[in-house]
Amino acid sequence: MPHHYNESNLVMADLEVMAEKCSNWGRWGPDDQIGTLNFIGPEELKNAASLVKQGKSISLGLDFNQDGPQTGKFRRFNPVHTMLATGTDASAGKHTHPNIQYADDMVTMPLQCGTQWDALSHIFNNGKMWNGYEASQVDSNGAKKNGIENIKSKTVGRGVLLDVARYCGVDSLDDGMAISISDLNETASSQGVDIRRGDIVIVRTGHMERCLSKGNWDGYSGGDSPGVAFETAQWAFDNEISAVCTDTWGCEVRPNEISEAFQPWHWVVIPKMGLTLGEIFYLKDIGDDCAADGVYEFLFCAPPLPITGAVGSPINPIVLK
Amino acid sequence: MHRYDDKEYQFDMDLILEKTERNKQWGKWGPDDEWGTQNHVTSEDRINAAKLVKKGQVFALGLNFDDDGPQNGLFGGRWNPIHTMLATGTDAVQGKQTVPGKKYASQYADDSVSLPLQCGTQWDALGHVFNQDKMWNGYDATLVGSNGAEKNAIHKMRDKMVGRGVLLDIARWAGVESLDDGTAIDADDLDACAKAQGVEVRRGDTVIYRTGHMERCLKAGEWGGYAGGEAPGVSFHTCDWMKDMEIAAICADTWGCEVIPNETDDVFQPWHWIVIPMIGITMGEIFYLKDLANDCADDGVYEFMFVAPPLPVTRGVGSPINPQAIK
Repeated sequence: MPHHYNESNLVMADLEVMAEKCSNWGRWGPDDQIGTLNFIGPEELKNAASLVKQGKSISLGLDFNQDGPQTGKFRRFNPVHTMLATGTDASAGKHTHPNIQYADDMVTMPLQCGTQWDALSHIFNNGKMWNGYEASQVDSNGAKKNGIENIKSKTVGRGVLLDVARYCGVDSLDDGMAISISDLNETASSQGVDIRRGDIVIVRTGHMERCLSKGNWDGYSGGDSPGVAFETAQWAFDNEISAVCTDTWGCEVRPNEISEAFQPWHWVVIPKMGLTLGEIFYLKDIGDDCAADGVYEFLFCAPPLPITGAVGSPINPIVLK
Repeated sequence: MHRYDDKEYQFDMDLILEKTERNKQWGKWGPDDEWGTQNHVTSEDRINAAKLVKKGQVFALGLNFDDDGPQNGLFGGRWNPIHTMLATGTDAVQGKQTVPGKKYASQYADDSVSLPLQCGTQWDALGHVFNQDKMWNGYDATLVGSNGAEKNAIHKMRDKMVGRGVLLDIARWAGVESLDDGTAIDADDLDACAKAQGVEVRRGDTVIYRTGHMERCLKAGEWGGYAGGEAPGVSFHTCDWMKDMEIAAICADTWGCEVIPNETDDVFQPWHWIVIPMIGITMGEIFYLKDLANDCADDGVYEFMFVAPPLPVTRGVGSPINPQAIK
């Protein structure tokens, strides 16, 4: 069972040890910019496609709108959706030059305001990012290395849902509850699913659904949260998974297990391991579906928008069973 | 194929009104439908589409979104994406990202974008185009106000746009790198190209046709009139084919799918008037097809699994996308 976070569990030296143990720098050559997504090869992809047996399509994307989870913290805001042309204008006879009645619109949004991928250029460790590139390669013009466009055809593979909340018999884990390696293994085992090389592992805590049912996001974005324990970095490394995704803002437990630094698991898994992270996933429908049919593996496809030099991307992940 | 100004193919408003009635399928999937031709895709079709994954290779059909995109203000005041950093690595290495109460500063980068939803590779939602004040399934155009689309919005399609994809490489079939601007593709051309490629178009397919227009611009390093100006594309007269083939979606490597200049002076984008509001077809535009087309020419396989989830922007009338063709 998940345990309560302990803020004095770790010190900076522990982060450094784990970062070295889980480092994949150079593993796929000095020019690599996609990290653990390299674990998905043609065989993994073909096997993933063979999991489409019922013809079901399920979306894991939270709708993008002004009711999203952002509060302005970290300068992130909810999407601002603005119309450039409307049907009301069209019906008022405004669309005669050129002569076509249409509607059109735009959005302004932080790339990580809702359901999203972190690019490998999102987090640094001691001034370096994934594969040893300098953090200073990410400047006001965007990321010259590890930008999201590098993975434009890479986020397709076998997805596995680990429904930790359901395994624990709760609607949602409480804030501050840390999911350990054994919690992940026991959840997988009780669901009858194995974790394989190249998998996209999706962990459900119930946090988002708790907020949605209350009609209040509270501290969802950047505040206290259930999430994976720091030690699971080792699990992700050993299992050679390609991505970790959750229904929380930041995957890892908050408050963190260290008092000295913010989001210690991030320090390790993104810049050193090269792991792609997905956050703010909407997992209610897939959670219910997997519980109903007992099938926790599927074809997963979540193409990022290839915004050149971006360090993240909003997405609408699709699961096919 | 024919030139847009070929007298034999020119028409006026009367034909638009005739085709409006001929192709109207409002109510086909009930009075509350907001999915249109995406209804043609069944569970069985998705299962069969997944069986087309034989090599284990993914092709991204999304053009990169950046300030070198095709928009230049020709239509609708659209611009290229404005990508702005909210936090950078240069800040990080200089210790600017301190966190209150934490001994060690964070090191991260973050960013935002401002973009018209149809500035690059995109879906048109069914609420994008109207015909005589009505949109798909007979809903009033006035349901799309400054708050967005109350009906036929893109977020209603959150788990759609999945199925069998078929590439019709018209340019290659015609033996050219790119069709010329103003060249109109006929229904016969679509059929003949499919036949020559040895692929059959079926109910529920997403049909993607390649004109070479985007590649011509990319090669020239100049978009010119790509976004809203002259272009190759399907003839207005293909609108019956679009309905009768019962396809789920139609996509192209051009700005607006249909030939420009249009084959009529009476309205702008006459084919749009029919296919979106009357047929209820999902339309994809500004697709990057070079890599996929080269692969299809190479292995002779023009069918694949197609997955192109829209961003569920609530009440949006379009969405930027990065479609995936999986072979």
